Amino acid sequence: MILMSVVPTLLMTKPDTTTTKIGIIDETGKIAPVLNDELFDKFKLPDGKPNYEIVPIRTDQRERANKMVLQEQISSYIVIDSSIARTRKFEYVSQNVSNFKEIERLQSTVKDIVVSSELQLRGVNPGLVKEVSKPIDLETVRLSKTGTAEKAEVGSGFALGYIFIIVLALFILTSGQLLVRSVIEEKSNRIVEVLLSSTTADEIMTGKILGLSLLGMTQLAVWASIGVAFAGQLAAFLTIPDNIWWEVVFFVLGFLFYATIFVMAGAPVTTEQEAQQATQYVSMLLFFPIIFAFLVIQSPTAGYLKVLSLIPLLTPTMMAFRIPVQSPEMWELLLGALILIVSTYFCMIAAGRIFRIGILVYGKRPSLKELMRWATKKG
Amino acid sequence: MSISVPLPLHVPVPVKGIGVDVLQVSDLRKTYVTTVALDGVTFDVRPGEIFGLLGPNGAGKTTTIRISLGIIEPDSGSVRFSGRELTPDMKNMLAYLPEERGLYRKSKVIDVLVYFGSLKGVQPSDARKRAEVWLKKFELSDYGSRKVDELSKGMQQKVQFISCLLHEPEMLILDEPFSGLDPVNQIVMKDMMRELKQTGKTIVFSTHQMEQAEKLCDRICLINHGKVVLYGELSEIRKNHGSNAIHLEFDGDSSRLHELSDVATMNLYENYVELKMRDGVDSQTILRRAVNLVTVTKFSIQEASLNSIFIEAVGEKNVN
Repeated sequence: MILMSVVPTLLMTKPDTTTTKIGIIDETGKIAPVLNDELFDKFKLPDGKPNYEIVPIRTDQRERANKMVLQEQISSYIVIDSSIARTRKFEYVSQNVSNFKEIERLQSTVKDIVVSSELQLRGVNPGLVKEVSKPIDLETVRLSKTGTAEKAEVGSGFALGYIFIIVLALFILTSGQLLVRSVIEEKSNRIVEVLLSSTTADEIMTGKILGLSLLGMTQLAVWASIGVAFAGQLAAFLTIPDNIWWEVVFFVLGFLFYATIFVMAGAPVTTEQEAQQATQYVSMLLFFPIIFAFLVIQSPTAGYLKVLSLIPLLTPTMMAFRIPVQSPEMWELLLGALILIVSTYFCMIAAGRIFRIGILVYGKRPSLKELMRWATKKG
Repeated sequence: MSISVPLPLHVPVPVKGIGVDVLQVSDLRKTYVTTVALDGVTFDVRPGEIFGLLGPNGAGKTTTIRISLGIIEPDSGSVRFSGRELTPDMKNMLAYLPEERGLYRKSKVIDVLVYFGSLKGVQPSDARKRAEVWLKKFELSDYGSRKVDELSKGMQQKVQFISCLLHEPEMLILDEPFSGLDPVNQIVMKDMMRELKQTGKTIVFSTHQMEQAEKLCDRICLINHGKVVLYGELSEIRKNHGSNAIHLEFDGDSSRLHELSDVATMNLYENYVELKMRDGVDSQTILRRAVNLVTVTKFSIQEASLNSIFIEAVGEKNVN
């Protein structure tokens, strides 16, 4: 599970190990000679060799260029026609046009060369231009409620929120499956009857909810420790806000609430197929709050976000982003937590009723209306 | 051939007043949507007896059992154990064998046994020890660390049964314990039930196989369509229903026996006939008539088998 999320990222940033040959058809005649050196300047392999090697191709040998690509003598080629300074575009031909790294590098290098040559043509010194257009950095300082100023990287608040969202998404995906599978196993093997002869439906359900929540915490702990392991890069981004404990509170409440919802959806299910459906519906339902949470990034202080944060389903994720970024008022936190606790409580009662009836019901999956009837039927 | 399975670790002494060995079921009613499952079922189970809950498929046996164990609630009526309502503590003194296997397929046998034992209040380490002893007695020692779904159906049934015995309950409630067992294992089960009775346990079991019930039960309750049709001592019931049955062995033309009058039902074979006389008819009259038709080699008056009592009782009720 962990490997699945970390490995792709690592792979994407992995450096190349061999020189890539790129062909060039250059009608201007001015770019090709310089391109090789520019690319070598900017992009080297770990062993010092050039990352890219330019292979000049005559302008009338388009066909041959294509053949070279298909025979993998070159991985791609670019076509620069003489009017590039005016048209501001050139062509990239390859069997794979999704190699973003390569495309982006070529684009920026060719641009630099063309700009430089244009400047020279008009009598401007390219070296002067380079010096003058050096970027200007922005240093960000975060002002906490207590008035202390800390230097913080841009987006530092979001990192914490991101971690939460990732863990929550993982939780939704895995726990949903686990819970529904366990219900099916116990129902189809009549184990549930044996359990009920020893204990009550409420106890079984509570056990499952607590078990799931603990699973969520464990996932969180694992991710946190991975984060600490990669501490070098992450530490720069991660500033622990004063009210980290509130973040934890909403983690815990969030897990409990979502686990309860899973129980409600999973209890009436009997077959593998119904299980799939149920898991899908609930997962979709629970992914919505994550989307809403991203609104926070856009405008963290918007008023309507305060209202949205109080909707129980959205509370955990919205608070997750809002707390580190621009901490909500105490009353908001308290109210949000309270509403979440109360909702979870009522959901548990409803879930209990649905569970009690659902685990002994086989056959046709009950309609939503029927589920509502179960939920409102006492004991 | 009798296969005896040795007694458990120690013989529990039934403690008066604290036990759950008396089951009182009173006027149970239960309707599922439109189907009436139970329509006023009442019976008692006495301590130390083997009680048979009999009936055809769909009669309401499983529903009765589930309600007794607190798995589902009745619409009305009550279930009491030694006069008290079922509490969690008392549940630890009961054992339940469901009709179909209720084991976690992908778990190891020993783990499943320890888990179910702990649900009934046995310390896990204790449960493990007891489980190993029982596995040995049922000749399943080698399978302790295997996954449940690697075992055959019969072996799984034995494991299920062991899970009923681990916590040394006072009363066992078994739903169709013989279903799916081959003849050898059926004998093992029967012997086990008799041994358990001798150690003072009370056993309630449901079945629609009358041959098993006949050999084991002290008292029975036969239900059909959710109503009690017969209830009481097995011997009494057989006596009350019995004396109309005659078995004849003979030589001669079996078809001639169709000429016998005053016969209610007849199962006719080449050289053997089972027949039921009409009420009020004297067995000697039938004998005299038969002797005129064939050469009688053997004549006996039978106590009715539970099977025929069942068919008669259920058949009549179906007409209603």
